[in-house]
Amino acid sequence: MFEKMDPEKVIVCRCEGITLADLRDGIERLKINDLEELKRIYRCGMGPCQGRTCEKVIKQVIQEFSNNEVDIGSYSYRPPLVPIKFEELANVEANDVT
Amino acid sequence: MLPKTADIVIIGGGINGTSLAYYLAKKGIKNIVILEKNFVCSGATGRCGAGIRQQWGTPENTSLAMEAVKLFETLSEELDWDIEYEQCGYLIPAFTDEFADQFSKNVRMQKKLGLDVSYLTPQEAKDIVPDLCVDNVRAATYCSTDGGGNPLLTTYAYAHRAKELGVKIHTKTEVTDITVSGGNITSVVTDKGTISTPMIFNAAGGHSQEIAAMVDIDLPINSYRHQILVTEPVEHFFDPMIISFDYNIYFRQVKHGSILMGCSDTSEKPGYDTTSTLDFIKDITTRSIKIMPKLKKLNVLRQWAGLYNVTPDAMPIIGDVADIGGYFQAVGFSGHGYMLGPKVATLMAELIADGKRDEIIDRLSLERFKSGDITVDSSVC
Repeated sequence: MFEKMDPEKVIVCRCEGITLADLRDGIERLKINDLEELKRIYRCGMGPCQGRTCEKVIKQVIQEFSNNEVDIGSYSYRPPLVPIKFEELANVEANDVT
Repeated sequence: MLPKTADIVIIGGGINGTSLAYYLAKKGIKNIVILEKNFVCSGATGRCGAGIRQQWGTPENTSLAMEAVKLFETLSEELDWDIEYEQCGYLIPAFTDEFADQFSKNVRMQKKLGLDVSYLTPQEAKDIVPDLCVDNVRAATYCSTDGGGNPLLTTYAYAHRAKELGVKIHTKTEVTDITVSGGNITSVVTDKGTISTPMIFNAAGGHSQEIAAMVDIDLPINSYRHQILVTEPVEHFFDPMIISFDYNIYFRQVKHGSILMGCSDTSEKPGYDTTSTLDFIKDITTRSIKIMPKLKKLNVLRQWAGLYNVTPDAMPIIGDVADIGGYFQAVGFSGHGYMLGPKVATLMAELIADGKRDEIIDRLSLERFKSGDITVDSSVC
């Protein structure tokens, strides 16, 4: 389904502005079809949504442009679940460092 | 399919393993295989703080890092891949007289080695980073040619260029044993099969001591979890990496705009745990706001952890060993493998391919611990 789309115009990860062209570069030129590896090179899934929005689409893209059935893997989700401000996390009453 | 034979098997697909493979292949070594139990850059390299500094506490670390910086300066060009290297400087404030005294000694040693480093007043430090709170700063050191890069891109660039030169990288392949016969390496056993090889290179990062144990080498190394976080990207507001040994913290705004920030927990026990904790995130946000109050409005996006592979003197162990022919290693970087790894890899490639032994190899060999007379680099956090 992605074959006919203009790869420069299709955004696959909106947080980081990663295009279909970026992903195809990784899959076709660098021969990388592991979700975690593509994330580390192109930053897809590294934005505020942490991949929750784009993971499904990116997996489909990998499947479509990889030659064989591949083990795509999945993102390792990291805390916090949603972005949190420093001032909400910091212990403002804490004494100085020990 | 795993090959049946190799001329050298490199264990570990991080910065050390991939850069070594690249430099060996460039020297014409054939049949190089990298074995990686997860995926390329899945271990310590891909989890690190991404800094590249020369302001160290021992001459060995300092001169090695100065050589590494020379290499990084042309690395994007060499690999034809922008690794986001930048010489944005390192600013190291001292919040106690004890550290201020130590820093002045460090600066003297570093200058002797030719490093362009300055000892600054609190106001001079504030001139470099206006948002730094200098109320309790006694002094600071600054080196403008320190900086950082993108460890992920650096490692993938090395891996890609190595593959172009014929190196085979097998991911999701875990080494389970290494066989030695007549005092020489003969094969590597993995969960996907066995490879006959006369040489192995231990570049296993946080798990290097487990690999060494397979050939009965007892490395004086422990791994420790170090946690780190990254913020949302914001408009650029400070240049250098800031580190404080008083607060055990480091942070830098990377090219992308986000701030990478890590701190040491001195109560951490040796082990291989890389889970994230709430205590860390509460602790580091508390500490960092004291140094730079402006941070309190930033959002934390993500936290994770990696392993420091720590030696008794906080300097790496590199080169061959006396008892086992064909065993080489670059291990125990004590949290600084990304910045030193590529330079060490060039030295290791010269040793393996050309038999050329740089004098630093002996100074950083496993043998140094036998005398019991070591100098510890305390400029670590």
